[in-house]
Amino acid sequence: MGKSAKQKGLGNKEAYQRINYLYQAAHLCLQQSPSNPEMCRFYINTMRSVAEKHVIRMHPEIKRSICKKCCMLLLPGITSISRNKKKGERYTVVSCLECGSVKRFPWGKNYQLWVEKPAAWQPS
Amino acid sequence: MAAPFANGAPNSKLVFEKSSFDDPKSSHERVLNTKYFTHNASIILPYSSSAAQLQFEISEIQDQQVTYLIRDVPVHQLVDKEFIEAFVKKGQLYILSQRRHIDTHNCAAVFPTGHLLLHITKDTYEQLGLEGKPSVFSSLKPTKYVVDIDLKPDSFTPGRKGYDRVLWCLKDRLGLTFDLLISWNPHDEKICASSVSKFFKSKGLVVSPVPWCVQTQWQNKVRTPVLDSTVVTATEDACGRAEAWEWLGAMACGIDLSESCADNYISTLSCPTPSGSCPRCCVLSVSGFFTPVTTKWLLEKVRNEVESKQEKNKVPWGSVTFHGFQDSPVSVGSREHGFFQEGDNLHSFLTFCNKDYWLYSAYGHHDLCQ
Amino acid sequence: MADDKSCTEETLYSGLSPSIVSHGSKLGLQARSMRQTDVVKSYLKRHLPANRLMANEDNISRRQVHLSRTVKKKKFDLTSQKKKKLTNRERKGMKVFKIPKENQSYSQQLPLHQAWKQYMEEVIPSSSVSSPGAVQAACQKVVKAELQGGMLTVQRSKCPSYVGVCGIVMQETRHTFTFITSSDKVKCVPKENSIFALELHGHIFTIHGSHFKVKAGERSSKKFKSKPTTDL
Repeated sequence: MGKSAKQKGLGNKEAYQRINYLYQAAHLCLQQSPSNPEMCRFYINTMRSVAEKHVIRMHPEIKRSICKKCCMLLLPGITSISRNKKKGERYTVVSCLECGSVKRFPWGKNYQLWVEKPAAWQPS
Repeated sequence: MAAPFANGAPNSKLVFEKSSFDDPKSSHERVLNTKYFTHNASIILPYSSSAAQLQFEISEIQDQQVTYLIRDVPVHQLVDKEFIEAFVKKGQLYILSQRRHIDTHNCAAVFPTGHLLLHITKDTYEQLGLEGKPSVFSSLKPTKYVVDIDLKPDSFTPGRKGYDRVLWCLKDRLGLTFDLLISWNPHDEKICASSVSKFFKSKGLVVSPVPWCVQTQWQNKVRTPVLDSTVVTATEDACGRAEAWEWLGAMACGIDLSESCADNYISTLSCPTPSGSCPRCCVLSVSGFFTPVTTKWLLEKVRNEVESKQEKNKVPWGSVTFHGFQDSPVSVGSREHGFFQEGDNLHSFLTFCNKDYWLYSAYGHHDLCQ
Repeated sequence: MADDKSCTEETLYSGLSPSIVSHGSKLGLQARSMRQTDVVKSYLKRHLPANRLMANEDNISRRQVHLSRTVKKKKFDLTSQKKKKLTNRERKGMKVFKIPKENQSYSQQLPLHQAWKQYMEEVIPSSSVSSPGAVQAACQKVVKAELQGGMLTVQRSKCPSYVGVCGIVMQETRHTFTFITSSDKVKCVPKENSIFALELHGHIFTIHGSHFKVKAGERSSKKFKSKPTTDL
């Protein structure tokens, strides 16, 4: 979740709470009825549209656990397959079992996510 | 300065029918059987000498035909299975809500056919949850809805979906209560008609009998129109139906139709010609909650008065007018009734000594008639 | 499949250490399990063609590994990777957002409703709705809050058969709410011409559906104008 929101102010606090709740609801719902992925997809879709409307930056952890194509929660072994491959450089491939879309994450030694950089935590 | 009505006078309807009581196709039985709720009966008997006897008989029968007023009855009580088995399915039950205006409030009625009719406002309908139709007299945006529930089928029992939904809506959703006028005719002579009041008393409700209000007016030396049952339009020998109708209305209102009062400020009506002199005319008005049993009995009495007299004391004609309730949801049978600028629905029988009769059916603007 | 051999059929990930498990109740840990078998079974059921299902190939208890067969390596197809988003037609075809009306259970949705209550507690703390002014502010928050997972009742409706429908909201679309009632029935109620009631901290919030016809995600940023009449 966008932790830099602490500087943003209370205007968007409700939006963050809503996104938080929807993410948890998607998990719960998949756990309750694994044979109905539609509910889970719908909640993730709502979550994404709320984030778009309020222009909220989500934590990459959350973004990486959602399939961009079909809005499905990606749980390795359950709804997705995660493999490590090598082609020149090493990368991880996460493929969604529902829609077949594929994500690739290269392993960069010196790569830091924006949230992990100290610059992100400085007040703007 | 008075502003004129945009559409002129209220659009009321008058239906005239001429028939005989001996005619097998006569509609008087049908009309009286389907006029479930009668508020007032006006009897006009010119030339009659034994009208006093009639007054006496009316007060006697009042004890037999008992009607009750029950306050604050919750509507779900009428859907109670016990009540349906005991009173709706057996005998004939007549129920009408009191002190509710048909055009602005919720009204309820139960017919002897076993139907519970709720004539409810738009707000109540949207909250209640029972299917109904908009009122026949409503414009593009209906303000009143009619919900009709059939109580008699065997499928209307606790445990079935339809019954449970109706009970839930009437009881838990909106606790509608009404003051009800009730009359029950038992199917068996051994059962007393007051058992319906005992039923409601056992539920803790306040039950009071509805007394009849009888008013008698005697008029001496009255001029009465000469009527012939075969002559419907006015001629030199007899007055027509329209003149007779006007005269009956004037007598019932107690207007002085004597010659000397023809230039009266209040009314310029006078007796239509040709007219005869009547030594004594009786105008009797009985008010209460009457069911078809009572109205048929009253018509029988008037017919007796007119038809059974010998040549010397001959009574050429008499009339009885039955006024329906202004706030009743139906006029005759299941025809919807409403109140616009007036809420009249009345039937007038003008009976002749040769067993012919003229039937006037008058309805208001918000009424359906054939 | 080297990874599969290290897993047992029961669990995919290793469990917590025994010391934590024994003190689990004191720590307030709730056992949650998403069994791999359930998910894989349901996945197979949905995606296998009918003839293979009849041949009972979704029964994963018997797994055959052919050692002599060589598996051809699929060429990496660049063209199939180009499309990143689904078009509306594809979405409708895949029916990604349609919930089957059968086989739903009210009790399955109760944990969701519990999570919703906790979320509402965060958004509108129960201590804050004491004064009328605070209730007004709470109303504004409800308008922007998430209703999926909450318990709504249809209080008034132009169509009488919708009146009294009460249940947990499973889906909220632009024009409808989809409820699941306590008798395990899925009801889809249009927002138009209905008034919904939401109970929170002892107050009843009324939502006029006709003025609420916005997609769930867009509702959080929409400014609602006051309407001349709330009549249905």
